Formats: sequence, C-alpha cells, structure tokens
Amino acid sequence: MTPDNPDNPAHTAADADLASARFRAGILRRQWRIVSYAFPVLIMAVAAVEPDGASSEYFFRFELSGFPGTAPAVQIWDCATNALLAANRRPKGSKRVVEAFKDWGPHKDTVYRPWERTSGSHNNWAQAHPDLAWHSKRDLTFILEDLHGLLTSNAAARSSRPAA
Amino acid sequence: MQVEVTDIEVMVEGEGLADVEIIRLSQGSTAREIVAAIALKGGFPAEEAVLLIEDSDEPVDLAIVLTEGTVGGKVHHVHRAKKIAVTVFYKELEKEKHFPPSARVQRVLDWAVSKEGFNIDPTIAPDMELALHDDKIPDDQKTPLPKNAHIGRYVHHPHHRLALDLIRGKVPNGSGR
Repeated sequence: MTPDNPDNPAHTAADADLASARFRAGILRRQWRIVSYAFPVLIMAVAAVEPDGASSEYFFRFELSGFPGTAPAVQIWDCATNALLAANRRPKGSKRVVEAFKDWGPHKDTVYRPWERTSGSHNNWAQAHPDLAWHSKRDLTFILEDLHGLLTSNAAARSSRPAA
Repeated sequence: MQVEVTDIEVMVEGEGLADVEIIRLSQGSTAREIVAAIALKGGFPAEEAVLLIEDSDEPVDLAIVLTEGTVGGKVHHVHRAKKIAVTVFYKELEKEKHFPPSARVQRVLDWAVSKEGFNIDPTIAPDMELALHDDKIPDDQKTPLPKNAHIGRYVHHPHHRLALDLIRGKVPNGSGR
C-alpha cells in the first residue's frame, strides 16, 4: 500500500481531482460527498433514487495506489461495519444497476464497471467499451458521474409510461 | 488596520468552454463581470451574451452584486443563445423542444424518456442515454454525453440548434444491447 505521503505523485493527482471544478460541482449539486479521505483510501457517498422514488445514498471505498496510471479499485461499502456492503442491501433497479453492484465471484468484490481496476479486465469488458474504460486522462469525477447516473436511473422509470 | 478582501468564487460553464470552471472575481463585482470573463475566454462580445443559472430558463439581472448569497451553491452559464432548439432522434421518430443553454443533458434526457417525449417503457427508461446525433454510427458505438454537461457546451453561435440521439446505455458483457 502506498504510504500517506503528499509528495507521492498518486496522492498529488488524487488531491488535484478532489479540488477540481467538476468534482466540486457534484458536491454543490448534492450528487456526492466526501465521507473520509486518508490517501490512498477515499470513502465517498453517492446520492441515489430507489425504485419507489425515495432518495437514499450508497458509500464507496476507493483505493487509489498508482492513481491515475492505475485505475482505482472501487467497492460498495458499509461505513457502519467498515466492510463490503451485504449483497441484499445493494442498489436495486434495472439490469444495468443490479449488474454493476452484484457480487461477481470470490475475490472479485469490486463494482463491476469497465473503469474499475479488477472488473475492467474481466471478459474483455474495458476493450469492448472504451468510452467507459479507465485511462490515465480520466479523473475521479468520471467514476462518480457514472455511479451517480446508475444510482439515480430509477427516477427515469417513474417519469415514463406505466409498464406494458 | 488592513482589511482582507476575499474573492468570490463562481462556478460557471459557457460558450467556448469544454467543461465547468471556477472563476474568481472581486468582492463588489456584478454579474456582468461573470459574462465578461467567459466572453473573454470564449472570444465573443460580452454584450451579446446572457447569464443563466443551471437548469433555469430566465436570464439573471446583470446588475446584481456578487455575494455568497447570490452566486454560492449555483452553477452558472454564459451563452449568446437564450434558447436552443433540441431535436432528439429515437428509432424512426424525432421530437423537438426548446431548452436554455444552461439545461443539463439530464434535463433533456428526462424529457426525452417521459410521456411528453418518446414515452419510453419504464423497464428500459433507466438505461437510456443521450449522444450527439450521427446517423452514420451505430447506436452501440456512440459515446453517451455526460449528464451534468450544459447543452450550451455543444452549441456554437449563431446556430442555436442541437441534434441528439436517444440510445440504450451499456450493460455488462454487452448483453443489454
């Protein structure tokens, strides 16, 4: 694990992302907030809309060693127990939402998205979807925007017509 | 006694900017100076532009004095267009509606999937995204626009129009296409 050293380039890069206008705009819009940050571990809360329309939020643990050359490892987190969120308490909604936060196998306990450190290499996932894959020009806000978009997507189901 | 003068931070998007930026203006500045700063960056005459608050329709009075109370907690937008004619294409259909340049892509998406838009089935509505219109590229190869982006970012004066495609977002392993 990378030590908590402000001279560490990964630490500097993460700090710069957290000070960026795009990241701060998300806080201002109440889309996400910092719960705690002690490099290389960042805990974020991201706003969500449940299938019944209720507002909620989910926590995510980012491990940022090697950032941004190495993609963040991101887990859906339970801040009360300081452990992975139990499978039965994970976000519900469309297939895209359920798949993103599923428990996808032993030692594969991260969010399942192309930009994620572990899942990005699974099933050629990142190569198949370069617009969602991680590269060193990406930033933390790119991930937060994707998570927020997934977690609030239930709102769209409620504004469209009744299911056929 | 020396009085410390603190700058006011203003979060703003605008014509000619690729993303949201933070600009710093002196205490006592007016809203007109937000417009002037973005016009300078964007290379257009400030007197032709309006200032809007994110997702709102009415221009801000440029004479207001900037304080934390007037600009804090808001994202602004500066553009020469007051309204943008947005056409969204979905399958063989298209629909048009006018939005201010300060409207986020999310606001247009909300309309496009709603009963007033394409009345998308709620089982797939959460998966929908918007991309720049291009009938030469298959939907599954289009890049969805960031939902927080102001649509004015994609519109260049004097063409106050924007064409978008309503597409299905990616599901793991491509199984949802």
